[in-house]
Amino acid sequence: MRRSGPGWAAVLGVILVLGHGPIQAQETELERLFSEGNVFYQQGKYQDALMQYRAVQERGYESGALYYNMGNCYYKLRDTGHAILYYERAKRFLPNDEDLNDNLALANLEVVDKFEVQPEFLLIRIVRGIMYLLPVSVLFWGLIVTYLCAVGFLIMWVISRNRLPRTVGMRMSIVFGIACIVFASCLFGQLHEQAGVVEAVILDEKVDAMSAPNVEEGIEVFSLHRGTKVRLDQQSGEWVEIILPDRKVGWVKREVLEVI
Amino acid sequence: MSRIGKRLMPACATRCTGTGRPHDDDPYRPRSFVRSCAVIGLVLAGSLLAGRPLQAADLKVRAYVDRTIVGMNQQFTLSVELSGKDINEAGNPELPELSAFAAYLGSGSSQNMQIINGRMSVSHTTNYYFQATKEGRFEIGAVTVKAGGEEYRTDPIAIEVKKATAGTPVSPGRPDAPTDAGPSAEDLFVRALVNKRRVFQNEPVVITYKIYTRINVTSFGFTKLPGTTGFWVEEFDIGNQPRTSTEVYEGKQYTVATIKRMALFPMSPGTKEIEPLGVQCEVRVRSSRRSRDIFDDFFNDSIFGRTVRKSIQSPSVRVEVLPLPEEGKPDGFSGIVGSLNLTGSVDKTRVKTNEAISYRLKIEGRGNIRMLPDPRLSFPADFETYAPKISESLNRSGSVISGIKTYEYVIIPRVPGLQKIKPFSMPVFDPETGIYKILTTPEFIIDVEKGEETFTSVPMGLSKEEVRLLGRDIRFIKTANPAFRRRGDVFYKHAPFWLVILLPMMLLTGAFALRRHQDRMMVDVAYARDRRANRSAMRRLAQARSLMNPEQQEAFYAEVGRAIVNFLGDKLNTAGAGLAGDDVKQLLKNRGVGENLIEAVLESMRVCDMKRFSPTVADEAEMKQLYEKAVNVITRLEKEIKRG
Repeated sequence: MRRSGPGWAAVLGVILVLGHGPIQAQETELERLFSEGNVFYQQGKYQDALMQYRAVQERGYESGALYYNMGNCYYKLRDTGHAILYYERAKRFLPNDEDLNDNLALANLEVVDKFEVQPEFLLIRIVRGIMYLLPVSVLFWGLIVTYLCAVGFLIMWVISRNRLPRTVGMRMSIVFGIACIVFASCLFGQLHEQAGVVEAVILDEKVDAMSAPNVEEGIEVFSLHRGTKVRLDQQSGEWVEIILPDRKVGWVKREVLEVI
Repeated sequence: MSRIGKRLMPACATRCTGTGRPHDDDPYRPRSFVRSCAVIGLVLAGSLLAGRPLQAADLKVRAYVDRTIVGMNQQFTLSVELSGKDINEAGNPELPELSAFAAYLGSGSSQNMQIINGRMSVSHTTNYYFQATKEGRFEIGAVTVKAGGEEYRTDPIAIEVKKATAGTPVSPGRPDAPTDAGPSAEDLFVRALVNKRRVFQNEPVVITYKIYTRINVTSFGFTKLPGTTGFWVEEFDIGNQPRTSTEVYEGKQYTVATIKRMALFPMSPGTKEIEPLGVQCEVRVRSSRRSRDIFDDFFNDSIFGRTVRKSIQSPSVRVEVLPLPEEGKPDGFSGIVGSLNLTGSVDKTRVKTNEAISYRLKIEGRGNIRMLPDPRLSFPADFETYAPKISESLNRSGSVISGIKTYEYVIIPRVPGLQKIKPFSMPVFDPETGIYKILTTPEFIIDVEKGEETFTSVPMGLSKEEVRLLGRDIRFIKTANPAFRRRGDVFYKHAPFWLVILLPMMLLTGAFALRRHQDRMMVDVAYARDRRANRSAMRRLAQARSLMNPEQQEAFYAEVGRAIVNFLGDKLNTAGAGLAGDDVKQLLKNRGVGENLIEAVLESMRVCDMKRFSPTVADEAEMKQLYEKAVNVITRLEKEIKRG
């Protein structure tokens, strides 16, 4: 096993690089903007705080905490639509954050549209609950660590000639292998849902959804209000087809909503 | 009980009441009809009516008729009243089968809303109009109404249909008055005059009954009302005392009085017969026995002229009812016929949220105003709407039935913004021009401003969890560890991620290969010799290299020779020592080694054997050449020898 030395070193190096994603110099700049925003927020200057947060966003970076704070600013500025939009964005990073869930529920109180949503099948609810138990970042590291452990123990089982290390190797690799599969399923499940389901929040005060992407042809099927979360389906010109939680479908102009 | 509103109700309605709960299906009307119309009569129901309104949970259902004794062919009304908090949950009332003695004419509904001590109550009455078609005593069975899984039944109502009692004779006349003798049919008769004999369905036929007389009629009364099965009847006001005029009919002059005028709206197409009207007149006749005595004449004729009762009948009238033309029939036409106008209006167009707006829809003109189906207006979803208040007024004087029906909707905007009330259109057939028209109201744009209290007001329909959150502030921002990430940056788009995934896999495969090799080295001698051959040959050659000087000539050649021979032995898995030239040639050939190489191998072996025991001293260059040749040969053999 002369090769294994440099191999492990490479792996470790890669992990280190991944762990420190953004370039160091940028990071301090972003953190400065972020903490400036926080100070403004504490002083009640929500507009200024928002400016700082937006500056981070404009540099091409995002994070759950950033979006959460932006949602708070919008809430304080009484812009429920944007508040919900940013809370929903934050939710993609922090699926189980208590503060976030609480604030989102508060913001949703001011949404006019209420839907009677069919409760999901129990099994699906449980699966989704498990899937969203941990945020993507934790799942990612969980996946990497369990994967490396599983493979490492498997190698130990393969190479070792003694009974004890072989038993340990086999059993541990099974344990870590299963853990790795669970992490991977949750991780890719979340990513898949986020990639496959395009959701948006209505930002206009009131929107009339039409039955067709055309004002003359279509008839008004329902109206929606600021802050309502909808799913997007297809797009036609400047119109998008939206799907409501109660499965009603209608077309609205692209500009009345923003994708989460 | 404090009575704020009071509903006018026929006095005899008090007798016949029943209680029950709502039901789903109404055999007579389209579904939404009942719901859209609602009636009121609320509190006083109990006080006005002797019947017992049964208090059931939150819904009361009563049924009553406007009269319990009905003349043949006369109309009567069966009313079903729903009241209580849950009337919206009630389905449409289901009527019992009445076709045995009554024909269904139509229905209408009304609603009442009252606020007593701050509590609002609503009641909702549907009137079903029937025409009695058979004499006798009958029972109107239970009306059933379904509400939330429960079914309510009203008590049955007894009803009696008698021979036409109609208008009571203006004066009954003396009972002893002779009825037989009287004037001839030429002197006294009734004509039934119809404005049209061919009408469209729902277009009114105005029928006027006139008495033509050349003698003195002191009074009259109806003995039989015209049979008008299949028509909806609206009577005109004639006044108590018919006005008389003179008219020449078939060459004779008559005194003419209009005694009855009706507008008949045919409910279905086909040929219809309006049965005769029976009239009994009291007539003064001169004595038939003329005396020459002046006194006789005087008393008989002028003062004591005899009064005779005379029964006469109008002819029956046939009317042809045409179905409405199919041509040009607009979509959504619901059978409204008449020369009507539709207007819509709102009382204000700028309001604050939660401020009520009144939307009035007015339909006026000539037609069957009372039987108009209620319009189905759709208001924007942001408006809270209530069932309309319906009022109607009919003009029965003159020779056409006209009227106004108003629907007043109270709508309350809940959300600020510009709200559109869409135009409402109503397709109508105008029998006067014979074409379909679409009546439309304008579109109204209501500018709704945010009212004061909307932001903090409790939105409707909050769950317990939501109520818990009310009035609370949001949680504080997150200040630590923002963990920034490039937007759109997904780990699986990065090469390092795949490296981390693939490298261990490669290591694992390597481990498997290594393990397999180790196992084989232990078990498979040929394999082990083969894998070890090169290494041991190289070791010998290295040894030989250190012996590369003329003093150790013998040892050098021996070592090189052994290196080659042992290498061949290992590779070919035979004893190296016994290998002779021809064997080597054959074996190597079998393993696919080329002629050239074989020759080189044999040459090297020969040189080694020769020089080993040669007395001549070899020079170092010669030794070096052999050494290099041996290395070359072994390296090439390692490549060229195929596995055995």
